[in-house]
Amino acid sequence: MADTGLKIAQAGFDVTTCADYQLLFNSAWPSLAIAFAKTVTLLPDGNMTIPHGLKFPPFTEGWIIQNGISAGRVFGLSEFFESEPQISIELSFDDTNIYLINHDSINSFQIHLKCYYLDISTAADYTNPKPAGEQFIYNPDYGIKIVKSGKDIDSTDLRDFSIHSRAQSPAVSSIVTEATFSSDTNLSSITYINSSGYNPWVYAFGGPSIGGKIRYSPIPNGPQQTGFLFQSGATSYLSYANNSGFGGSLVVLRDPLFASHTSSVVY
Amino acid sequence: MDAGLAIYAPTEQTNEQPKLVFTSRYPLQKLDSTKLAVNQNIDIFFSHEPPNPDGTVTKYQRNLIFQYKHGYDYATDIPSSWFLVSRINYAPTFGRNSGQLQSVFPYGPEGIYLTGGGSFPLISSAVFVATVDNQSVNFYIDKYYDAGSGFEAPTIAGSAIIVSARIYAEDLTGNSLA
Repeated sequence: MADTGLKIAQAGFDVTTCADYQLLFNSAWPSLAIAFAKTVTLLPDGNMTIPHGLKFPPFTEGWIIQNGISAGRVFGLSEFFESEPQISIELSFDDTNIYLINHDSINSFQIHLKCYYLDISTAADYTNPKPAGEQFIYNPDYGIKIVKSGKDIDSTDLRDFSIHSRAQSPAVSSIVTEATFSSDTNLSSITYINSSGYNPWVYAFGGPSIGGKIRYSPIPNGPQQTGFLFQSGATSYLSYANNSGFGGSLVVLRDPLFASHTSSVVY
Repeated sequence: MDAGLAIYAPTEQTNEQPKLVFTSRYPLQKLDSTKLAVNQNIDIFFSHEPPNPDGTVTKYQRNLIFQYKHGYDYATDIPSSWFLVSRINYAPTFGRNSGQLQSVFPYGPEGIYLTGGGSFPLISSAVFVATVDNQSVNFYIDKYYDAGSGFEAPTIAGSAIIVSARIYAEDLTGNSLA
């Protein structure tokens, strides 16, 4: 219900009239919140099934940790994607579990899993706000912070807080979903066109139906046998060829809700 | 939940259950707005070629091309990260030619090919890799080259990419909800 909630404007702005990016907090923002987090060790040639405790297929990501270093996230195999050990790990999930497989017969890997409180099987379309044109300036005397149980409200560590107006969070613009792709002979696609014109940050998830449930995997850009994410300008596609029964979703983020710092490097 | 903020929409009928419209039970994924390094778009121009392996004795070589402090200054924990790579002036195409991958996609996550030839996995290729540790973000170009494959050594000199990097306060320990 859009008329119920909490808004806090930046100092100097009228909360009833200011633009979205001039708010410090809006409880209606579809911000990504962490509903499940776990780090596991996946043995060589091993597999694991991890219940996430949510009643829907959540936006799920996995990071590979090797020798104290995050070596990149897990995506489905693609002909346009190759980085060890990313291609060794297979991640999928449904409305009950996360499934991990290690195709490396020699090395163990630590995998960190995060599920965000976002049902990727349900279509959604949120207001696409005007993005921020300038860097946000934090005012420590003004805002909101909600500390986690047992943590110090004066802590400077953002991890101690559920919400802190010193921080900014990625938020969702749209979820476009297709329960099953209909064609088993032609290329089928889910398409999203960003009406705001900028190139959005898009994540894609898809996979086969197993036991009546779509078994989603994070999908990288590029062609592959079971599906691919393809972006051209403000248009994004999740496509499958020759795979009747596959389903998938595009999750479009509101980035850039806040302005990024830019820098240049010449190698 | 024993502490925090929950917002319910007012009910319109007596027997209606209040609808939860917001809860702080689940912590937000957070970028620290006071640290410029955690929210960057980094243009990288390759003015020269990252070294290739010799293609005979060694067929793989990792090259560090850029490194920066993310600013979270954790003792051992690693912050979570997202990277999106955009190739500059790449017209998207899709297809194959004589078994060689011809597709060019303008966007991709960490771990994607910047160029390559051969059947999958590509025999001759340059791959962008981003890693994160407790202090730093590290960008690499991984080179794969087999001199006996018939494919030329991969070249990316003269090309440019933009790396959108988001380094979040939430770490990879599994304690984000604690």
